[in-house]
Amino acid sequence: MLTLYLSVLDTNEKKSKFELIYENYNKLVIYLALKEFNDIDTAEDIAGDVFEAIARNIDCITDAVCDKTKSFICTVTKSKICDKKNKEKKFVQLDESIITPIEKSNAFETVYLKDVINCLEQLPEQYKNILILKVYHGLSAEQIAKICKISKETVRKRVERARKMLTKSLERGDCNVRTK
Amino acid sequence: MCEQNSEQLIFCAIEEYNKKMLDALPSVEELDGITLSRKFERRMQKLIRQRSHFYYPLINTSFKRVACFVLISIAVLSTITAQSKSVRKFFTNFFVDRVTEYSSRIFLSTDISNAPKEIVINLPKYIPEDFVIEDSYQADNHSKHIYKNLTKEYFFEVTQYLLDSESFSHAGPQELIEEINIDGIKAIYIDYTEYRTLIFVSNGYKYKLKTNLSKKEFIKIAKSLI
Repeated sequence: MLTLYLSVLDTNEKKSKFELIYENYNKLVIYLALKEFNDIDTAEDIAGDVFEAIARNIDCITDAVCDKTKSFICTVTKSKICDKKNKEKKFVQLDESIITPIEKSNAFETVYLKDVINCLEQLPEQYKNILILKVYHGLSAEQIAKICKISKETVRKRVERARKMLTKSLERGDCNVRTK
Repeated sequence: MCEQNSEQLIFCAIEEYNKKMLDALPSVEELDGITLSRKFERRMQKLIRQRSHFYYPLINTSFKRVACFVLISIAVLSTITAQSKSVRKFFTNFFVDRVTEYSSRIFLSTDISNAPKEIVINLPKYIPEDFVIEDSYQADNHSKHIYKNLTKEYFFEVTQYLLDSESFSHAGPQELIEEINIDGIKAIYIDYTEYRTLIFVSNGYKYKLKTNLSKKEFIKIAKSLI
């Protein structure tokens, strides 16, 4: 009986957290989607996917209203936008030289933070978003896989490739990540 | 050390990147101009309502798995049991007993493996006084003989069938149908007041008798067929 009560109570807390998130960020999500697609129907589709992903993974969020949550929602939104774009393009090809394995690198020894920021900004969206979710928000590969609806292996590979792209870009010193 | 520094650098870079991104986002007042469609609002409200039910996570995770497991188990068990004749017979008898108990349907079953393939006419050895054959005909799978008395007031019919299935049933009004025993043979007796019917299996044939004579006379005629 106590367990049932606590589960309901716990669910009520989660419900109010999700409702708070929705009430505070629904228009922001639509805004971000509209910026890319300029079509309200597509933007609402993306927003629906974003909130469904958040609802399924509500445990990833501690505070409903804070900058970190806002950043998380923006990252998930950008990830969904990227998926939508990729579906429409059907195929995104990367420059193979960027993802060649590098065994040892001293790239990070003599760089400045601003260089890393510049290189990070230049990363392809799908790799950048996953790297942010993994490194900054501390999500596990399984959680990221559930949110982005991809396999754990794909998450692992994208994180690895993102790091390698950053390393390569820093080594070259130009922060230009080439994509076709 | 290099790896630790790189990891910290990436984290700090992402932190700075996020700050820049958040600063570039519009304010709440600027977002007021965005209106959401009713369809979208309904979709979101449905999502919020679903989340509010405490059983929602259970249904969407454990319940689905349990339901799949149960369905697969039933399918596997049914396949295994259907292959065993004794198990099939057990379930058939169980089903027949339940239906017989709770309905007005009575089942008769027999082994048809040695049943005759052609009709060899078998007429009753006992015929009440003043009764003669009024009419008779024969087809490939059955024969019928109708007896009437001299005044045509009373009659009895004997229809003899080839057996084509291991079991069959007969239903009637619950208050009129009963199962009786004629010399060790199970028979279905139905009394419609104006006439009565008797159905049984004997010597590889199915017999259906009909008469407006008394039950006692009727059973005497039936016994003479066995």
